Amino acid sequence: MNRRVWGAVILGIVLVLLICGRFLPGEGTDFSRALLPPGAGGLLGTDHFGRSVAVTVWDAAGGSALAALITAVVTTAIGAGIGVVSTLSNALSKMSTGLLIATLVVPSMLFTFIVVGILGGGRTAIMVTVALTHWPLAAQLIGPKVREEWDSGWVRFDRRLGAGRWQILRWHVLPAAGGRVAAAMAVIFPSAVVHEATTAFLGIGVDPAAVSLGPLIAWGQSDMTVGAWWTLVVPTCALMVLLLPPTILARRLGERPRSL
Amino acid sequence: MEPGRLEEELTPHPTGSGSSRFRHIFRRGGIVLGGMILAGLAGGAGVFALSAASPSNPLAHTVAGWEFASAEARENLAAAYDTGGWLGAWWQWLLTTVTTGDLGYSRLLHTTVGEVVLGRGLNTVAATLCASAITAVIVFVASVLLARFPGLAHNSATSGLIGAWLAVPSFLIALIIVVLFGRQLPNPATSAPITLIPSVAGTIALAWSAMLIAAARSAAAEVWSTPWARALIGRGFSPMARVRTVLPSIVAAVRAPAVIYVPVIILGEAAVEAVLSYPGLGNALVEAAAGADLPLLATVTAIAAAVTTGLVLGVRSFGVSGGDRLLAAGASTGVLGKGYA
Repeated sequence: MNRRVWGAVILGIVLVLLICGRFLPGEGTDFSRALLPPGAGGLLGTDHFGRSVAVTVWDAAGGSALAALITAVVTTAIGAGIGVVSTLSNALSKMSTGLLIATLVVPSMLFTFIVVGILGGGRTAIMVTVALTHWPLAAQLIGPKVREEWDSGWVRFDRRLGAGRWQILRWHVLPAAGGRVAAAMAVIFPSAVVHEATTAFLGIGVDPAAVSLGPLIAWGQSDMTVGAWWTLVVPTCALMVLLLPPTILARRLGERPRSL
Repeated sequence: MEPGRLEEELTPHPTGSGSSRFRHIFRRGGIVLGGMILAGLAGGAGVFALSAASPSNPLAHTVAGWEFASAEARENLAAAYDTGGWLGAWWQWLLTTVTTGDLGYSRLLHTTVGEVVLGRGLNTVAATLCASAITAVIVFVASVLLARFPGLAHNSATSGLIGAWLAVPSFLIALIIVVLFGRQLPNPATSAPITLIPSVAGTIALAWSAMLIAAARSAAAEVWSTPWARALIGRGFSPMARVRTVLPSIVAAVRAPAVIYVPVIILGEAAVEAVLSYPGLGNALVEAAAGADLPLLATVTAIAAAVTTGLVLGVRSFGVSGGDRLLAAGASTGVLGKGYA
């Protein structure tokens, strides 16, 4: 296996491990154990509710990873579908370009702040706004490539030999567009994590009781004043663990959509 | 106007007589202005519509207590909401704003919305200008280094470093600055906004330069792969001659993402302003969104929509770079793909 495949496998394992944290039993509040440092308070200490920081952060990171993964898959699927349809006619293509320009106008983070601030809905609403502002990226990345492959000489040749749609998809289209699908997902995934973390950090439209990396970092910032550095450092590192691999993978996969 | 027609109108036409060029500029200016007005109206209306659609319906609670300078304006707004719902309320708010210049009162910031917009808008503009200047210096230095040392553009460590830098969200950069330099930073509660500008502008510049340096590195790698650039080294040209030859190509590649990112920077770095407690328009928007302060939220949203639309259309119309390149730049720098706003 080459380095790229190894990278994707390791990323997948990390993701699965993180998501497992979502299904751990929740930590109860115990104020007598509040802000114990690593060692006395377990592996990574306790937060100001007396909960284990390791378990709480694992839970929060798992939730963010799961939500971002679902968002990346759904957004990429929607974008790819619209992208393929938009290549069918000139008018649809122009409409797709118009939508892309419209998306350029909307700063996605501000859009998220406004929508989630007014409607509420927490993590789900944040992910919906990410999908709304990011699908054109997937459309522009994947659509033209799928269409180009579908119209290629190889596919026409195989069709004449009697190959079905699914066979053509499996033999030609998916291998050709797979890199772009992965690139789109690798760009959308960290973006979804950042949107969720930032919105929750600022306390906009998010349930205060929900376990999320944003509020954990915000609480950690206030705990720093009493010297409890671990409550800030651990969730910040967890956020970086979520963001770094897909961002670097996206760069390696050539997220720069030159064909736009 | 059809999308194709709009594209045609926005495409720069370099040739032509003086009067036809003036006509083109006038027409494109009209499109930009029209786009700004439409986006502003849509932004304001969007806030009213979303509020009405919300399960808690903050619009219904706000309309009765919406404070204008005159009692008559408030009664008109309440009556318009009763008869026309959110659309009626939005239209009445717009009429009051246009005819009297009264945008209402912000219950969160305890002052008129007009004063908030004016004061905080100027603070945001000042921070953005400083951030742009710092970014320009950082990116120029990086571009010179990339033009001077060919190996830097192809180095995988450089790529990894830029990848790691790109991954750090801007609010986290602000947080790191607060944690590391908190004691040295001026107190936001007691200091004048001008003393807070360096930290805000520095943070925004750090977040902004990562993607521009990534674009510069890609361009440098592409340039250094061409035969003519390799010939510069093979034929023994001096390092200064290399920089003079390669730098313009790198700067040209950075220009498009830099310009496309300006609209996002102006109001998009709301999270940085919020973390550093900077009294800017972005911070006002965060406070308004968190506290459902509709008069302030509707106004700031309308302004944000108009400004970003104006800048994006302006960039496209007046041809800072080609349209396709701009789209690619927008997609690759994160306006689309990466939410580092």
